[in-house]
Amino acid sequence: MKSFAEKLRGVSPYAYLIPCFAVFAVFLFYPFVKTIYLSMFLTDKLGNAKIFVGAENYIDLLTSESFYNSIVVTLFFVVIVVFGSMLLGLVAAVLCSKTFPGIRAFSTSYALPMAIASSGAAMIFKVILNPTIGLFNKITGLEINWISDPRYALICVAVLTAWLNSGINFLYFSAGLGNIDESIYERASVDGANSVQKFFRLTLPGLSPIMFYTLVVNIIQAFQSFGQVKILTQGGPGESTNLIVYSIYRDAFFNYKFGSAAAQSVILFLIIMALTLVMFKIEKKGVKY
Amino acid sequence: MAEIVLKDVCKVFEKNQYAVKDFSLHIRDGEFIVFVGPSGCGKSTTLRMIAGLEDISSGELWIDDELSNYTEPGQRDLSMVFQSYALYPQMSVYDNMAFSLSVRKVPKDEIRQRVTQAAEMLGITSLLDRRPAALSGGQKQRVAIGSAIMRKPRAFLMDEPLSNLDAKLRTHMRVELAELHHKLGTTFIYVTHDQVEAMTLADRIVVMKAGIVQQVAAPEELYNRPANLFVAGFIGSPAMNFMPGTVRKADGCAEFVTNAGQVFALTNRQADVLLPAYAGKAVTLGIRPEDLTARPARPGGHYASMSGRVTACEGLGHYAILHLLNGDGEFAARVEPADAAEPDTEKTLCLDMAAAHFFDGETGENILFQWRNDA
Repeated sequence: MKSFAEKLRGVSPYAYLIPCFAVFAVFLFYPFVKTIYLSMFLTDKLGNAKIFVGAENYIDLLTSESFYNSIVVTLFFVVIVVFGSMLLGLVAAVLCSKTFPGIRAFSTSYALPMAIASSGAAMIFKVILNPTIGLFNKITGLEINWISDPRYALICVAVLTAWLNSGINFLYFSAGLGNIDESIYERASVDGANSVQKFFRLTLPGLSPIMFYTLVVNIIQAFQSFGQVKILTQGGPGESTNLIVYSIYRDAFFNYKFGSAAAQSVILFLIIMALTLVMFKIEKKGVKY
Repeated sequence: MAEIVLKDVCKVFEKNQYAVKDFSLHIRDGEFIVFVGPSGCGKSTTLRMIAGLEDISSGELWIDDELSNYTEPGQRDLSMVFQSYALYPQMSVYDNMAFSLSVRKVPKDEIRQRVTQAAEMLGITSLLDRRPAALSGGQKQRVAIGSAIMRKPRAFLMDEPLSNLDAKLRTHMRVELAELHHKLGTTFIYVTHDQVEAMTLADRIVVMKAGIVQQVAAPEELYNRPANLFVAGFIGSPAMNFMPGTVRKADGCAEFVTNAGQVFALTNRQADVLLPAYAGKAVTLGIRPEDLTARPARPGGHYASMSGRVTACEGLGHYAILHLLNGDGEFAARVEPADAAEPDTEKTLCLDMAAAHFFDGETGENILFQWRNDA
C-alpha cells in the first residue's frame, strides 16, 4: 500500500498546473468549443442554441457573396498591414541602431504606437482625415473624402493599422539587430562592402529568424484587427472595409445571427492556422541559419 | 604589397585619455610585424586605426606613400582577421571566402578559381558548403585566414587570430602562418599578447605598454637587449629576475650590492659605464633564468655566486626550473635535470655577470643599452 504522502506526491504536479489550466479553460478552451458548437445551431437573440442545423451555417457562408467579399477585403488588408508595419518597423530599427545624441527619444517615439489603443488612434485619424477640417487634406491640398470613399477607406484603415503594429515590430527588429555580431560589419567594411551591400547581405539575412517570427505574429494580428474598423468605418462604405472580424461582430451583435458569426470565427481560425502551418513549413528553407 | 608608415599616431578616447600615444613605426614591404603587450596596452586599437575601423585622433598614417587617415576601410585594400573570426553566419564557407571579391564585382569564374585555390592551400576544400556554425574553432580560423588571403591585399592585419584555439592547435597554426607569410611575401601586422607567437613569427616586434611603444626590435635583439625593465620582464619565460640595489667602488674593482646585501663584482665594461654615472644611485640588476646555472657554463667566464632556498622545482625533461627565495625576493633559475633540487634545501648558483642587465632604478631604462625609436 502506498502511503498518503506518496499518493499526494504523485498528484501534486498536476495540482500545480490547475491555476494555469483553469485560466486557459475559461478563456480559451470553453469559448473555442462553444464557438464550434454554436456554429452548428440557429440561435435566439440571447445567443442560446435553439435549432441544430449541422453544416448549414457554413454552406450559407460559402455561398454568400458578402462573405467572399470580406475574405478578399481581409486578405488585401492583411497584405498591406503586414508589409507596411514590417517595413516601418525595420526602417525605424535600422535607423535607430546607430548611436547619436537623442537616439533614445527617437527609439521611444518609434516604439510608442505599441502603447496606443487602436480605437484611440482611430479617433485621431478620423480627425486628421476629415475631408473639410482634417490636417491631412489641409497640408497636402487634396480634397479627398478618405474614409467615405470606397477606393481609399481600406487603405486608410490599413495604413493606420500598419503604423499601430509597427511599434512592436520596431522592438523585435531592434532586438534582432542587437543580436548581430558587430565584428562582421567591421570585417565587411575592411572587405570593401558599401552600406547597401551590408544591409542586404548581412543585416537582412541576420534578421531572418526574427523576421519570420515577426511575420507570423503580424499576420495573425492583422487578421484580428477590429477596433480601428469599428471606430473609423464600421465596415463601410458599402462593404469595402468589412473585415472578417468586423463581419463576425456585426452578424453576432447587430443581426443576432450568432450561429453564422460562430461559423465565420471557425473559418477564420482555420485560415490562420493553415497559414501558420504553411509558414512553419517554409521556415526551414527561408531562415538562413 | 605595402609599406606602412605611422607618424606620431595618437588615439584619444576621452579628454586626455590616451589609448595610444605618439606611435611611430616604419613597416617595410613584406615585413612581419608583431604588436605585443598586456591587455589594454593599445595594440588592437593601433591595428584598428590602420584598418580604418577607428579614427586616428592625431598623427599620420601613410600606406604606400599615400596619406590614408581618412581613406575608407574598404579602399585601403587591406585584409583583416579578427579574434572572433567574424565569419558571416548566414553564408557558407564558400560565400564567406568569396565575399570580399563578390562585393567588388569580380567575375564569378575568377572567384571560383581563387576560392578553390585558397581552400586547397589551407586544406578546407571539403568544408566549402558548410556554414560557420558547423565548423570547429580551428576550421573557422582557417576560413577566416582563407577569406583574408582571397584578395591579395596590400597587407594582412591580424588581431589575436590564434587566441581562441587550444594550445596544440595554436602551435600548429603558428607554423602555418609563418609558412603563409613566406609563401605570400605580403606585409603582415599581427597583434598578440602571447610572447611566444611574437618571438617565433616576427621580423620585428613592437612592445607596447599603456599606449606607448616601449621598444621596436627583432626578436633576438629584444631578448638580448631589452630597452627597459618592462620589456625585459615581458619577453622571456620564466621572466627575467630583478634585484634592486646600488653600484659601489671597492678596492680596485666595482661591485653591485643588492638591497639585501648580496655582492656581485661587475665586469670591466659594466664598471666603466656604471661607476661614473650611477655610483650610489638606485640600479636594478636583471638576470635571465638561463644565465643563472648550477655550474659555470663557459670556462673563464665572469661568474658571481648566489644562493637561496628552493621553494619549488619544475622538471621539464630536458631542463628544470628552480624557484628560489632569498633576502632579495623570489627568483628562477634554469638548470640541467641532474642539478634539480628538493624543495626546502639550500642551493648555490652561478650568476653569469656578463649576461646581466642593469636598469636605471628611477626610469627603468636599460643603462648599458640605450634604445631610440628611429621610425
